[in-house]
Amino acid sequence: MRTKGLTALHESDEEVFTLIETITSAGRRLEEVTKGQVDTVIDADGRTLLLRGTQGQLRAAEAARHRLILNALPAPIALLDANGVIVSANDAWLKCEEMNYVKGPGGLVGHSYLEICDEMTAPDAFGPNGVADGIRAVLHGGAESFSLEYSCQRDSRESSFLLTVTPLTNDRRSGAVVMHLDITERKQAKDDARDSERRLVAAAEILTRNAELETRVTERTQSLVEQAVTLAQQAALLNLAQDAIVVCGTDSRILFWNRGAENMYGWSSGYAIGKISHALLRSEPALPLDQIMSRLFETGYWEGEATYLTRAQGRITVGVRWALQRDANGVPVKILTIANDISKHKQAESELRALSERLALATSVAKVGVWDWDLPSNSITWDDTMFQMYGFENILPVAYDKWSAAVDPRDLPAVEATLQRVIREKVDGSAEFRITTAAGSVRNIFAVERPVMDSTSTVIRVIGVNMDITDRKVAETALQTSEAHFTHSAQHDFLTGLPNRMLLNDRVSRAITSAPRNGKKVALLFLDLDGFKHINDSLGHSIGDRLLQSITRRLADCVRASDTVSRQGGDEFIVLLSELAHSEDAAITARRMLTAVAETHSIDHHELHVTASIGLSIYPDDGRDAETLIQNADTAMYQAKENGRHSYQFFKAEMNARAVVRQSTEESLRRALDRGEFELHYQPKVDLNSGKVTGAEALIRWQHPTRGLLSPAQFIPVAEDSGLIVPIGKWCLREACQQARKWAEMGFQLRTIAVNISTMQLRDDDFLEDVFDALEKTGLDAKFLELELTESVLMKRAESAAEVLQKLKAKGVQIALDDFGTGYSSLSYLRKFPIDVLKIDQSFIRQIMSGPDGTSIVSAVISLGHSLGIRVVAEGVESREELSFLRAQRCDEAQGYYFGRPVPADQFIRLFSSGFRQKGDTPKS
Amino acid sequence: MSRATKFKFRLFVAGDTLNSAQAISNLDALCVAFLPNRYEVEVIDVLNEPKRAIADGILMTPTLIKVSPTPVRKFVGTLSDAKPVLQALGLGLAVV
Repeated sequence: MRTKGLTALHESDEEVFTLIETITSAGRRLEEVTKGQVDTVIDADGRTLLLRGTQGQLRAAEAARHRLILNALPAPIALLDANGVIVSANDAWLKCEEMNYVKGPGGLVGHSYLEICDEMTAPDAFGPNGVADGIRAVLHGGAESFSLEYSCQRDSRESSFLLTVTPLTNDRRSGAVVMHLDITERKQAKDDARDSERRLVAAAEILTRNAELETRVTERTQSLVEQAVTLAQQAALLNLAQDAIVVCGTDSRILFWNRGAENMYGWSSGYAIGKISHALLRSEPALPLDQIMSRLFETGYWEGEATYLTRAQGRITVGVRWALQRDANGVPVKILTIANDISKHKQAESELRALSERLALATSVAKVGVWDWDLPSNSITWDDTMFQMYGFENILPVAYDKWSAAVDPRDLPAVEATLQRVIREKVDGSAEFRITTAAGSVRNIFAVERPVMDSTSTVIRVIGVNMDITDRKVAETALQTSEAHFTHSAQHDFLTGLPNRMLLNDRVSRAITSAPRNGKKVALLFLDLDGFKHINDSLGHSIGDRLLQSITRRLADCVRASDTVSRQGGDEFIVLLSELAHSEDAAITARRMLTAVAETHSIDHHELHVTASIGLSIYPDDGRDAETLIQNADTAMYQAKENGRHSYQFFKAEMNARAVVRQSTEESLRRALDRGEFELHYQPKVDLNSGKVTGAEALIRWQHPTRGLLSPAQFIPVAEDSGLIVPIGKWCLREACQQARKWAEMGFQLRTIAVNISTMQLRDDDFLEDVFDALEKTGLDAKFLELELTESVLMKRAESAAEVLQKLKAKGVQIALDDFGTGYSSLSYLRKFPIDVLKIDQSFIRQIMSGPDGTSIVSAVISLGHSLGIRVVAEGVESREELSFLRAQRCDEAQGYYFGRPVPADQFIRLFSSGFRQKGDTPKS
Repeated sequence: MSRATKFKFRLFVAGDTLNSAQAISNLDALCVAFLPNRYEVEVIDVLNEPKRAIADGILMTPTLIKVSPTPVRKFVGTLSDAKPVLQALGLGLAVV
């Protein structure tokens, strides 16, 4: 392998030669072009290539600098090669003739230092060859280093020296550095050492206060500082922890995915980042991304609703705001998507603050300078960082005046006061101040000071640290700005910039506090656009949004500066008019707004026309708090819409009356079941062949505690609206079955007991179970139960209804189609559903006496039913004539006042248990 | 351009090399003479901060960038001939 490689190299000799030529001539040409004024070139990767002339220059400069440094050092230093020969030495070494260990002829360079040492007699306990052996060990790699303390006479006094031998490099033993350090003074000044140690400990303590930072600061500080400003600006948007926030590049790749997004959508940030956003997070129905994008690039934002598929295959419907971020030059860089929840803003705000603190801390620890002020000698010592911070030349001691001159005169008194307090009260102090560096730039400094006391508790020095917090200041300022912006956005509508409900409530409260004092009124105008949804649906959200903005401008033009126009979301606006002299003034504004809104809006070449309906409520007449006033204005707005739109309507108390009755009915309905206020009445069904009572229809009645007995019409609509119809219906079933069973036990077996079923019951998942449960619990045979349903019930969910009915049928339950003829009367129902009984609506029975037209329908229905094998029941029979006709037509059964009104169960038995009423008898009335 | 307009310069150098050192002292002299109290110079050693050189598109050292006032201008070399530099800085008249 090796040989082969060498051969290959040989073969490429020529090529290498050519390349060298090229490099040389390229370098020469470069120097020509730049007239020799350039010393490096930089490639695309940032590698610096020194030009030929420069390399020599640099080496010479380097050597000169090294010599300079070496010669500046007072200690004698020599450099040995791998064999121990002195290859260079500094001035101090060369002058050190009198020192025992380095005594020798001339400059010694070129002589073997090992030999010199071998020849000498060591004066102490290390043995004759101690020093030479130590140096050899280092040179041969046997020891990491060697050191030896020794004493000798120098300038006729006892001096102490420390000899150290250090290898030049660690990996390859290529020589060593030998140094003789005079430690005479150091030995005498042990206190100094302890002091400097203490100083370091203090500095370390201050630093470790920011414990969190300690480990990660060094590497990350730089990038943190750079990111701090950007982050702070975006923090308001990015850290609403409960909201899902996703930031994408313009290529749709996800750059940021917050915790809220993790929680909401299920994917971790680590997984999501880098993915294409719409590929990962799919919306169903799909969002019109093209439209959204063009809108984003046009206006900078988009707002709407989206249903996303989560990782767990669930669906989540969220309000989404999209915003486009541009750089300073207006070039789009990022897209922010926020699925939001306003109520969580408070929490987000505190998280924002926490973030700002973390950032501030992280950025502040970039550089820490340490200083030490010795009070008795009034001399100040700085470390290198301090000098760099102030831009001063590195000369010790530092004059107090020089430092104080650098401090901003406005800050100096406070800083000096702090220092005085530290000394006087022996406590830690801290201060923040500005300095002007030697280079002229202004920096913000944070300083901490600590007193150091001697054994008598006298403060003898102050030590402290300075931190450059300029960057932190910048970040803080940016943060404050973005916090202000954040507060604004929490109180304002994203699309129109108008105050939102939160801010409006606040202003309404303020307006109604001050109004009475001036004897003024306050008006609330609830404005809703007519048919806005149509515009949105047909022309798209983009046009809709801009229409809303156009309307916003016009509404704002209709009011005084002291009034508030707010948007409630969608196409609803609420306008607060404060300090009104008369309610009529509000009507004038309302009229003005109607006109302004109705004028043509030109948007994107569309000429749009839209009208509005306005409801007004007045403080104090229509309410004394914001919520009531807004609700009443809303009610009045609906009235305005009912009155034909493009109009306004003042709130009137009676508008609420109906709603109030409904509300109280609902409340008492809830209690009625528990209190057993419902009862069933039964209306007899008579078999027209036998004339016997063969069945009964159960009809619910409500024994209302204050309003007396209520018929179904008085409460069933409310029960249906509130969903209470389901438990009520269940009760009816159970009660009716129980009653039928009881009668059967008494020997009064009906053909069927009929119970009415509402749409909502039929839709209820538990309906079938409820029916079967009622039968099972009461022990009633299914064939005795008849469920009455209207056509409309079946129409609404034909497929699932058919399925339910088939299951009931399979059990033997009878199905009756109620009110036949009033609805769609589609014959297909009769085939699709397993109908046993057809009930002719009483309105047709009424027509029997009106002539041939009236009778024909009834005849047709009866024969239709029979041809399908369905029993036909006539409802609402009231006269003998009607009865005669029905019998002639061979109608199977009939019910109505002619036979008997609905009565409670006990009366039913009393009236009908004796068998039946004769058809010719006087009807009950 | 008002008298108070502050000039911001960035000078890219390579260590203590001769041309770079010359550029520093030439720029100093130029600023003191023509822009007293209204200049700010940042010296960047590309041997220490190669990324800064890439960021500013520096191909050679020494290179001087006038960051502000705009337009941003670049000068390569030791700046020993002050005239073209001053003219490019919009200070040509001051010389005449």
